[in-house]
Amino acid sequence: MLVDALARPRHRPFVTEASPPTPARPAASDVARAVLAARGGDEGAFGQLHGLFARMVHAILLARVPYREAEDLTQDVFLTALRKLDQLSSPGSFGPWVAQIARNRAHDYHRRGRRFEALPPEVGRIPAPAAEAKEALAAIRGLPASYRETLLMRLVEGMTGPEIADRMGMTPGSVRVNLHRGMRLLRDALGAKEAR
Amino acid sequence: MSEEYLWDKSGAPDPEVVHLEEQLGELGFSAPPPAMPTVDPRPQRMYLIAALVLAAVGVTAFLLSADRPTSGTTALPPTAATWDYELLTEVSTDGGPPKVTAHSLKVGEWLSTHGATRARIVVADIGEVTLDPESRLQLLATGTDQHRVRLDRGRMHAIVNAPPRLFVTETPVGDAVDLGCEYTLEIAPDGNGILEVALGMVMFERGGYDAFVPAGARCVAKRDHGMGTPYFTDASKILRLALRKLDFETASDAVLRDVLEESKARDTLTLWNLLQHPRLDEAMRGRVLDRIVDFIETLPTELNRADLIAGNADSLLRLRGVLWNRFW
Repeated sequence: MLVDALARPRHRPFVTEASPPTPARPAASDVARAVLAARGGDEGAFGQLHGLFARMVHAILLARVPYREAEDLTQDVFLTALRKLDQLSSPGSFGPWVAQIARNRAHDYHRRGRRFEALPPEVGRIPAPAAEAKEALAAIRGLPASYRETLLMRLVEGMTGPEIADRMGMTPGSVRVNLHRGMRLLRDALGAKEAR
Repeated sequence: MSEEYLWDKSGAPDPEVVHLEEQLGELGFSAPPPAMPTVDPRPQRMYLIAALVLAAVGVTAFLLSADRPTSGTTALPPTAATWDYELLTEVSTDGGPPKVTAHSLKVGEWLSTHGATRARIVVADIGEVTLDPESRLQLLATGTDQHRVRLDRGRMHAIVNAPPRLFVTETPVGDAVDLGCEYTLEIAPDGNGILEVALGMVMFERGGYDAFVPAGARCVAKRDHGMGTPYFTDASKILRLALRKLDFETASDAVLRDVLEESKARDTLTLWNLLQHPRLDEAMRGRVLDRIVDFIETLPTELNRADLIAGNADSLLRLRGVLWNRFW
């Protein structure tokens, strides 16, 4: 386990370490390579980044915007990220970086209304979810911020806890807490609705 | 029913989780990537034209774009400059719901809670802080690569869902640097503090000394004496008393002997942190290392005793990994 140079705050004689002694994230070097290639216009590399992080971005947006808007906004986030890719100083940190772009986009959506590149009409057709799914989604959106995104990544996007930690740049321990506590709150919320 | 199923889909499936997956899975993302735009020599968006013009006069584009990350850092785009929070005031004595009012906290502003009021603060989409009554907290910075607050007094409970080091709490006795976790931080009226970590881990930093505090552990800091040494909350009372003497009274051989003799395998957390203790000399650190070796039988071949006693960062981290996997 090596020290993360980016996380070392200042010169100090004592140990500083950003991450716990867990196995190295397998995707970090692949992500960095894809970012560097995408900067050079490699469409396949851009597609690879999309494949790795689109579900994460979609879940972040789903936590904040109407479900019908989330898919289009996801694509918009990636196009924004592509335009700004030169500004990412640490290519291996694409995940947390694009996650923040997604949160900012959701914030802009509510503040300024829709503003994103038009997509062909056949793209982004979102079927109306069943009533039960809508209710579950609403219940998740009512949870504290920490739990919302993680639960949506797990239950909607089908990502596992280790995948979520890897994509978001979080420790597995944190993700596990969010999943289990969030699920407990969700059960309570859905149970309370049934009781009414 | 297995908790592991929720975590990584292993073990016996949880029926409620499976049902939610089936309901919600249809909302999952499945679209292909958008086509990469071709380079257009004639930019059509006004903000890009404005950015080029301003760049030509030496003003950077980030003044116009909310998403522009700073350079030379982990490069996260900026977030909104205010945090939302709620004040919850208990208004009845029979368990009725509290009165809730919504507010915003700007950078530089203080939030104080009094009487029966507590605050629930949304930390810029990465988590939540609950502030107990009679507490005082200031928002120092939010955005780009870090969020910082100052807890002047009182008690806060933080749940953070973010990469390490994104959330920092300054206090009169040290800075609590979140590494992805849940923790409680309390500052007493006399300025002394206690950090207790429920999940994940926190670095508690002051004056060049970093205390590593994982889940289940606590670290005490005193305004006039500095940072204490972390210990697991289930450490023996005798160990804790001896440690308190070592940290805040006298770092003598006799007190260190008491700490070492009373320590168990799990107390290697305390012993590992003692290897960096500013008040222990080389001989004392050697004794601490000897006690650690008692628990692990032998140092791994890649670790060198001299390096560990000298405080070599990489060696200490490797040792921490060994202890973490075995005892913590």
